[in-house]
Amino acid sequence: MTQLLRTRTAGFVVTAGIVGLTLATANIHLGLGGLLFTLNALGYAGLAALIVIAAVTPMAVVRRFAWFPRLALIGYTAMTIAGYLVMGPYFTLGFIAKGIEVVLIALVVVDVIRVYGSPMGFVRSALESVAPVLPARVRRQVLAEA
Amino acid sequence: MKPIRLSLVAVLLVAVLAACGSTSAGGGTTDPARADVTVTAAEMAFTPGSVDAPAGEAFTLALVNDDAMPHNIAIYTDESKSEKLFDGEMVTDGTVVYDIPALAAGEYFFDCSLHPEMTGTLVVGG
Repeated sequence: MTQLLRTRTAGFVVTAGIVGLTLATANIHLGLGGLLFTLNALGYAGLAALIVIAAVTPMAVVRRFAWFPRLALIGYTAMTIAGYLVMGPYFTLGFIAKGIEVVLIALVVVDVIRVYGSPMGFVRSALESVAPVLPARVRRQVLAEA
Repeated sequence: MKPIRLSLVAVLLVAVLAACGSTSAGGGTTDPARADVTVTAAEMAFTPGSVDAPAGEAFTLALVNDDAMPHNIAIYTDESKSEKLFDGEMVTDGTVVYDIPALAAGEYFFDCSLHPEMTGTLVVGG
């Protein structure tokens, strides 16, 4: 399964799916009007752009921090869902948007497994990418735990 | 497809299309012109900002949505929104007629559940 996910075609399909779902929920939020929803839509659009940049840019520094847009997208989407559950209002379009967002999180998790092998591999890669800026003592501890 | 199945599909299609017409939330009139109270949502604001309704009897409230985004009307006892008395369904680019239950005389606060900055006052018995 992991081998299949690591093909170029699978990578393209998963990334296109993530970007498509992100833009879909951005579009729904943009259509709702109001400052809060517009800002939410802009956040999703920005994260979609970061996902594309991380996927197509061959630069080493971009590859090193490719974990960031994935983590940010999962966190942002989870916060949006939590905010909706707390504040509502509950109506058809809202439920459609939340459905899209749940599938989006699942797809990013699939992408994490595709690229990093496992959630732990993802965490290890993230920690290793920021290790050079950490104090030596913390760096040794973090890398040992990862 | 057998004729009887075709007929069933046609009946279902007609029922679905009929349901997509002018909506009344909870029965009553579907004609906004015959509603007791009319509120228009346009450019993210309710017009008029204050509407009168009869006290002690149920009434109909038409929400005409001239905006491209969905709006509704939710009625509360006061601006603190501590108690919700009515929560209308969302309407996008169209009109919905709400059946509002009888309210005691007094001033009530209403807003759009999606856009809390859209507010108004319902004066019952005013």
